[in-house]
Amino acid sequence: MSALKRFWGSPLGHGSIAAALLIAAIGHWGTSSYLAYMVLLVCIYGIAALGLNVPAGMLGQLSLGQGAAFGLGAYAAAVLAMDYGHSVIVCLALATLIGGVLGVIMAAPSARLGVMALAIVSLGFTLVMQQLIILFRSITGGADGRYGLTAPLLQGQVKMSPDQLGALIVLVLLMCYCAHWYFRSSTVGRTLIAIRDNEIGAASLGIGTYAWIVFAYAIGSAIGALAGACYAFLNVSVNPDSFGTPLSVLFLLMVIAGGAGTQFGPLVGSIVVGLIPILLSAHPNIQPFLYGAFLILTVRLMPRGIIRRSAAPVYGYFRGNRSREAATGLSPAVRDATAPVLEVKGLERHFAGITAIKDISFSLAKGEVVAIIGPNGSGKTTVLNTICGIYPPHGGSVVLNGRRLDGLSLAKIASAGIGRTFQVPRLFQGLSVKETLVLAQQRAHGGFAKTNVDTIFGFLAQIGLQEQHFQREVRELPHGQLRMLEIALAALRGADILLLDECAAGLSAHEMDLMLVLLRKLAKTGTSIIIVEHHLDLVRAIADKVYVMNIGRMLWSGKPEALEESAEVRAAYLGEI
Amino acid sequence: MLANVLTDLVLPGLVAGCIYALVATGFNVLDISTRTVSFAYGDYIMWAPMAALIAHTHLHWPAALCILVGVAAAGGVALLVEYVAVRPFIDKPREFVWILSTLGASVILQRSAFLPFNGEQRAFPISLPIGFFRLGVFSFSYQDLLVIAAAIVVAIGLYVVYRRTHLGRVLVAVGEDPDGARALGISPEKMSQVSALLASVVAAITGLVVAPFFLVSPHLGFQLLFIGFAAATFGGLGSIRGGYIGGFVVGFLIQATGVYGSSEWTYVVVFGTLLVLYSVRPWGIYGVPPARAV
Repeated sequence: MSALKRFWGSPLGHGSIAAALLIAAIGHWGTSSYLAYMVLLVCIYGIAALGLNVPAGMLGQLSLGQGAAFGLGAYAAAVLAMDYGHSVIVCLALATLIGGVLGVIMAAPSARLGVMALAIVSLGFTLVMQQLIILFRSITGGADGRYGLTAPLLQGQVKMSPDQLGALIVLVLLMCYCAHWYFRSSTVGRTLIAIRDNEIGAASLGIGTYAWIVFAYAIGSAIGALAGACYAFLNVSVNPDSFGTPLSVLFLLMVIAGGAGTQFGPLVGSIVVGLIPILLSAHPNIQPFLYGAFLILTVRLMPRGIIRRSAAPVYGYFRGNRSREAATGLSPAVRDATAPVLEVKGLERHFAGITAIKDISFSLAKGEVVAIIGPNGSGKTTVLNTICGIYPPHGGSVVLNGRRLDGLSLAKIASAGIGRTFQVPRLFQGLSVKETLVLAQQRAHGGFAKTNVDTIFGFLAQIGLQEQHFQREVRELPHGQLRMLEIALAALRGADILLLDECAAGLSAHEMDLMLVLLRKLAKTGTSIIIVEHHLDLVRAIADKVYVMNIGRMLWSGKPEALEESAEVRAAYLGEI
Repeated sequence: MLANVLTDLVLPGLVAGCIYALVATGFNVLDISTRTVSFAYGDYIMWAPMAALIAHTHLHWPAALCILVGVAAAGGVALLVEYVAVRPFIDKPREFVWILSTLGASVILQRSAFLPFNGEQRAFPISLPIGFFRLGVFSFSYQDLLVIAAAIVVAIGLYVVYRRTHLGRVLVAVGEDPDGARALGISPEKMSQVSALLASVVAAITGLVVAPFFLVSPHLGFQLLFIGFAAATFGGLGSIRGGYIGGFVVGFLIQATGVYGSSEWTYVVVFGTLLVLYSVRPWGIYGVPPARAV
């Protein structure tokens, strides 16, 4: 029973059954029938949409360049088969490769500029590709295109029959479906969703953005070109008119309407969107109106698409409650106050000529907990942001374990061992709790605290996130659990230093107690913690040392017990004179 | 030689520059107040001469009335698109779904323009008489002068609106900080509508003065859209001044491509330059990188 279920649950299982049925149905209708042609066309759209789901769905980039990739793939296949006599398989493989290169060229110059610039650049590629196809007449046949495209499946065979081609297209779809499935549930898939849902949150787990965007575009364009090559063989011809902007928009609509970033969405979307022109083929005048209306209605009424669950299962790697050995093999952390883990010297940062912080110096020993307090606007959060690389410092140095970090990016500093939580939790809505935890575990950098797995899962269970809740999507979690989960993530990564920005805000008294216990345990196993906090009770309960800031400077530092004895602190912070 | 450069390149480049500066300005007007850009903007431009042409051909109305019809059509179309495809997303411009909804609106507007003349290209009959104004080696056609005048009038008009009127300051403020503006009793929705109307006026002027150069067809808008957007990006989206500079850069590029190469390469050249600019100066000539709030 369970073996059957597992077979059905795997993409190869249900996918191959569906593919076999589809091939049988196409054989029944006759491969050259109109119906079979339409079904194969939807299959090809499905391939392109699955590919586009990588940059557009998982990474949230509004790529309008899939039409360009599709067209390039089609022309590459046509030219390779007709002028160079390559077999179909070789044509498909080379077209995929060329598509990947196009994706890199598309994304590399503008991947730092955000969604809008990439949308425009990819739209430009679609326009330019069409113009270039017409310009290079000698190769592409110009505005007329090229006709009579056939090739053998493999080198040395006879020309491919339509039946073979139909089966091949269905198999390519099956292959892409399986690859897409496992891609989404792999580390890479989770990483892309994390970047999409919260770029800064992802960076504070040590995930950079630029390379992933280029990578996702390359994958998306490669698969788009593969689909285009299939399209060329299906139509036995290529023509520049079939690869314009409308096609790019159509592919994007398939991904969005189906459910961006989900496992089934692109396929569902390509069936729904692909069916519209088929059902309305008798009324070609209504078709564009309906298509435009569908675009508007989709983003207005169901912006998350038909399939809404974007979390995916986790295969393999998960160090959950079950593996205790990691926890028992613990070397008890030694608090060594003599050798500072983190040294901040003369930190300085301006905003448009206004000095936000200046002369901020302090050091942190292994397992030490310090609190930074001060009135609103005194620069507490700016200190955290400058240490962890969100704002590059304008002066001073940050040294972690003897390595200078100032000037590095947020992701690089996070990878070096500084974990961070934010005033507003920055988590990843579209991932399940389990995926989020695995993501953090896989980003573990191997600091002192990698032994905390047990503590953290115990803590999560206490706040109501037992293992049976791990399938829930992060977007469903209440505020308290989000905060706790964010701390758990930073800790799971095994950060040497945790920067917690108002981590108690909005927590109930009970939740605050649980958090206090966790932070103490983390400190005991060697994690150093900097908290920025307004709750003085919490500060007194946990901090070894308190720094008071006022107007961007360090005003006072000392033991938490001595806090109220200082006249200047009272004046600046507690409002007494 | 120099005279050739002046007459072949500088003069037509100047006129083309004015055209693309006008298109870019429409994008900037929308961006300043809503941080969104309507991809249907090209169709606002197209519908002004299209509606005027319908009034002229089918109803035989006098030219002045046809022009009014054109302006009204652009305004109506802009308000409709704003209501259906932009306003629902006004609170989350950074999610960029409005790119899709306005693309959808663009498809509908473009296809509706197939109905009156079956999508055929038509010459635009309402223009200045053919004649030339000579200044040394230069000779401008009257229509050229009209385009240049339109660009100047729009620039001055918008300068006055944005810098000298209360409404203009509100329009800028609401784009800078919609929530803050709302707290002051300014409705971002209302201002989105006002900016759409203001952009539609620019669109109508653009459409009516350039229609005699291009033929009127449903594709007129899309021809201008991408190049105009590239011009806006060159200058930095959200900067009127940048839009003008970007417009001239693009205008001269296109003219130079046509004169020294082949106009078939237009998109390739403009787009290639845009890619280079993105690598060198990502936020355009006058643009500023968006601040990250943490």
